[in-house]
Amino acid sequence: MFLTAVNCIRGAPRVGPAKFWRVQQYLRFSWGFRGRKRHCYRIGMRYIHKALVYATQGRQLKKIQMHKLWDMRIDAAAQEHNLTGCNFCEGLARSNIQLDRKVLTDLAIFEPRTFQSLVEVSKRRLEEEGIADVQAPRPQGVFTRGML
Amino acid sequence: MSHATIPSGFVKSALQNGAGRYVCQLQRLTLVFCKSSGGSRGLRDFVEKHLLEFTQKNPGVVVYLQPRRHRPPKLVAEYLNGRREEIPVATHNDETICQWVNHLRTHSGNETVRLRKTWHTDTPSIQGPWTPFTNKDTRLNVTQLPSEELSRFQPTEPSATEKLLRLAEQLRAKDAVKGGGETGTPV
Amino acid sequence: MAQHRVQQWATFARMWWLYDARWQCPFQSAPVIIRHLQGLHKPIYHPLSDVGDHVVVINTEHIAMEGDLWRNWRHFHHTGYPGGFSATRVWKVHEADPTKVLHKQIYSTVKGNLLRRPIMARLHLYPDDNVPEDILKNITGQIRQLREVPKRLDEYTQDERDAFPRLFEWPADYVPNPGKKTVKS
Repeated sequence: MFLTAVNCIRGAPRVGPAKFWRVQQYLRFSWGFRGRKRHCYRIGMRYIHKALVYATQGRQLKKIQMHKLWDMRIDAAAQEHNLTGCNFCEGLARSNIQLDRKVLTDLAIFEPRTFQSLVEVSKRRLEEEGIADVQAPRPQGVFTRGML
Repeated sequence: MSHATIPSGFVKSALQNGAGRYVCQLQRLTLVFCKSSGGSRGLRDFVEKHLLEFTQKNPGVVVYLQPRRHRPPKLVAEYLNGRREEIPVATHNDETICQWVNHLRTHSGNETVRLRKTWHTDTPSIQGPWTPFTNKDTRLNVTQLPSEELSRFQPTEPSATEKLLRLAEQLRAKDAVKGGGETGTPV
Repeated sequence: MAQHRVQQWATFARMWWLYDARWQCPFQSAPVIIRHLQGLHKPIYHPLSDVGDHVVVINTEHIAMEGDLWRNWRHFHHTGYPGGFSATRVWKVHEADPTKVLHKQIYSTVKGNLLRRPIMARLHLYPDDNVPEDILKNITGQIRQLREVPKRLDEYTQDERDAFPRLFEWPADYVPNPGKKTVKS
């Protein structure tokens, strides 16, 4: 049902009671619900309220979950260069590089060499400041190509 | 729920419009008004004062006038991608209608949705996106796996045995310097 | 475009990792193996993205447990029928199936959601070095061990033993193991 036209007639003499418009405002949110919840106001109203509550909670949760995901990705990318994500961010903070986690993740995925240089900067700073938890650069393994 | 009822989308452009030549996406503008009612006064004033200027400035836009008796006034814009936008302009004055017409002229015709990202790029990566082999040593290509060197545990701190060995070496070095003095070490 | 398709294949390529479990602790190894199975070692990780890799673990029969755990640690099993509960010491389980200890440890360490079964399907455990040819051909990387593999005295060469610094010399008349007195005096 094309509702825009119907809504535009609000200024014109109403056809039907005002309750119709009030109910229509609600029922547009029951798109995709199953059964009578989709059509009947009395039944659907409860589920619509719940859906709006979930939408509100989801907006907070999205921020938390994205932050966690960024943390995991930065840790993974930094571990490839033998530095924990936690120490990497610490080193960047001490070097006054204020790139946020979203940008660091984008760099780790799309500009891996830039991310590598950031890791080197962080390592240098942590060495200078004497942070003992930094993983020491692993000695290069001797690759014998399986011949020995 | 809100993902369906409140649609969202990504930034879109009509075939990178503006990167080369700019093409006005507004194809057709229809002005629906009543010749005598009060609500259409603004639109009638617009037709009298500003419409000619608009058509001269925008030769690519086809303008239709649709006088409809006892009907509220509206602007109907049709775009090159086939979409249609309607703006009810009852009791608006002609300056406001000028602004609305300009708004419709500058639209791309894409649906007005919440933007998930305010940017878009066809080339998100310059250095090349990450692959599992980006940060790996290329010597891995010619290494036979399982490899003892790659598997061996690499400690971050020296073990007690290693510390003893280092101590023994230092003492040996000291002995060598002193010319084998009485240090008490049998080595 | 073809380059986008190939780039997608390259970025989401699945690696096959090898892990030698000889003298390694299952409790310590499990999180490291799971990290690779889930794909947490990749910057493109997402729990719903199926970016996990395969892990082939060899020498699971030579796995090492701390202290008395071979005797004290139990694996529980319930058949589903009444009275079907059993608790078996780990050494017995290991005798029957050398891969079960590590398999159970990894299964219980992975989060018990719907992603667990596909993750376990990507884990390949072998009791010794014998890995099928087609799986060996897939291996693209190796996971480093977490504990040092200890060396027995007889594994050192005579030269190494001679070169090791001595802290003191045994006296000439020293007898290492006098043995028990057979006759009570």
